[in-house]
Amino acid sequence: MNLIDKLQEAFKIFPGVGKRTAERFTFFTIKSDIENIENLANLLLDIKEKLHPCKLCGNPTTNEICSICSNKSRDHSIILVVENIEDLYHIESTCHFNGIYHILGGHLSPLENINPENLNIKPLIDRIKSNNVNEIILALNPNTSGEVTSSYLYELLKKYNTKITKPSVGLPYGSNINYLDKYTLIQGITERRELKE
Amino acid sequence: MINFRNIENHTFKFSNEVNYIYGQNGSGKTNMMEAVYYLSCAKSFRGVRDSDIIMKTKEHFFLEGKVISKNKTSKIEIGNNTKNKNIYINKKEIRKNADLFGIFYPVIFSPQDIFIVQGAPLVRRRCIDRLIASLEGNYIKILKDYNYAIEERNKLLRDIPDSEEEVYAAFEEVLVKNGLKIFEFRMKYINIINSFISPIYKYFAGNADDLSVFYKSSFDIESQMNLKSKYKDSRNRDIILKRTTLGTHLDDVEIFLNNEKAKYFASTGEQKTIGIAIRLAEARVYSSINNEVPVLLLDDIFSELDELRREHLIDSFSNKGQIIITSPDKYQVKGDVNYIKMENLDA
Ligand SMILES: Nc1ncnc2c1ncn2[C@@H]1O[C@H](COP(=O)(O)OP(=O)(O)O)[C@@H](O)[C@H]1O
Ligand SMILES: [Mg+2]
Ligand SMILES: [Zn+2]
Repeated sequence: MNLIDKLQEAFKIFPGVGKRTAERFTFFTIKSDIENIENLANLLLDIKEKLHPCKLCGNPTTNEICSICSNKSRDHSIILVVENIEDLYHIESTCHFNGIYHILGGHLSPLENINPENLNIKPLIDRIKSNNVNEIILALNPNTSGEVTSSYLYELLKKYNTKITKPSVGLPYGSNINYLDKYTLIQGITERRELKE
Repeated sequence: MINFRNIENHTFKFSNEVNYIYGQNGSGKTNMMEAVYYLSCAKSFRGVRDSDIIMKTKEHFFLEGKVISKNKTSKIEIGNNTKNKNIYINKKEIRKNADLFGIFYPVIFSPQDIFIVQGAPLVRRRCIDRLIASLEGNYIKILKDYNYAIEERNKLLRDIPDSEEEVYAAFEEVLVKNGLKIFEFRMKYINIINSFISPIYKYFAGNADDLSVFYKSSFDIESQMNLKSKYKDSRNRDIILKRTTLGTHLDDVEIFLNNEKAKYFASTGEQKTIGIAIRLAEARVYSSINNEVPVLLLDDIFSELDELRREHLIDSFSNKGQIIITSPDKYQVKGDVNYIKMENLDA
């Protein structure tokens, strides 16, 4: 494989980048100024070297604790649990949630080799045990595996006597938090339904 | 149709009443039926892979069908090259096979129908599930989620048996919730079938024998209450057996002729007749609910029937809907029949 082919193959690791787009990226790189490419290459390395999950919530940060978890003006008694980083960013962009987050890092699926120990669960339990948490919002993707993960977390967390809720209305079944329009999302996270036995 | 099994390029024009296709064995009659059926759900009734359907030495097949029902014309196009399946309804691409449902519903009668009586429970579950899926919009999703939870739970039982109690419970909750829905839908439709099937059988068999069907489930009324704990109790046994032994994925439909199990007591001839009666009942249930007669595909069962039964079969549906009959021999059928000889298709 020559250099051009190698770079093309490398671009294809990105989601949504197929053969055609990888080709355009490659030829653009060849034509581009060295400064642009140097900057890009450095950023790619930086983000991998300097970012790591927040010790409390799993949100990628350059510090030990992320800016959301260390923000005193946010309501630390409400924790909203999501599957992925994208979901956190999407909900943040609505400016309608002032609590804090917890990123699980996926959904439960033994078939895909994702078992409880592969999910970011222990720090969540630690927080519930040590802090004054009043409410846990389970905002996993409204599809089958998200539902299963929600009921797993509910079973696991109900013994701590914290209120556990779910976004009630507006989240159409089979969808992905990340693709929901903001209006639907805001409605979903403001109108919540408490889970009980 | 293009490159569909042994049919390289041909157009069939059917009348909206009785169509009679005759031609020697191997000429492609069943393949033509398969193509009609494929247009209704993007699947073969033979349960084969799409790659088996593509004409040998060719890379793709293409089907186009014009369906007129309830005064609406729909053009269905399906192209398939084993890697991709493209489905268009009125030139609009659709994403899921299930979006095809509701355009038309074929009921296929074939010599294989004897397996509805003789075969494993899976054959009968598939039969009833297909009927329900065509009439209840959310049924496919309910079945899919149920099967997903079975797969996940079986994975736990097989490979990670000492998983936390809460992990088991999460999947079992889907089994309880969806299993009960499946149970209720199947009970409902078995009851409707039962309300039709006895007179259908009597008329078609020409005797006074009594045919009935019965849904046999591992869920019964009393166990609905504590199903959750039943799953919990079954874990240890299921871990040893490495599979889930409770649920609607194991249910069966039992068929009784004069109160005896037809699977064990009915003669081969009776079992064939029962197969046809069940197909007729399926068609009747569909039309009673959807207010539209399904398309009947009678593949190769005509030549095996005596004249009286042939007439009974046609009579119970003529003047109501479309029938497509295939047979090696040309029989005279009364009424306005569109005869098509299957030969030299590519000429
Ligand atoms: N994928 C395929 N490509 C080409 N020929 C096929 C394919 N599948 C089946 N056939 C041929 O189709 C013929 C059977 O057609 P069929 O419709 O069953 O005939 P019949 O008229 O008896 O119902 C056989 O000759 C078989 O070899
Ligand atoms: Mg045949
Ligand atoms: Zn954080």
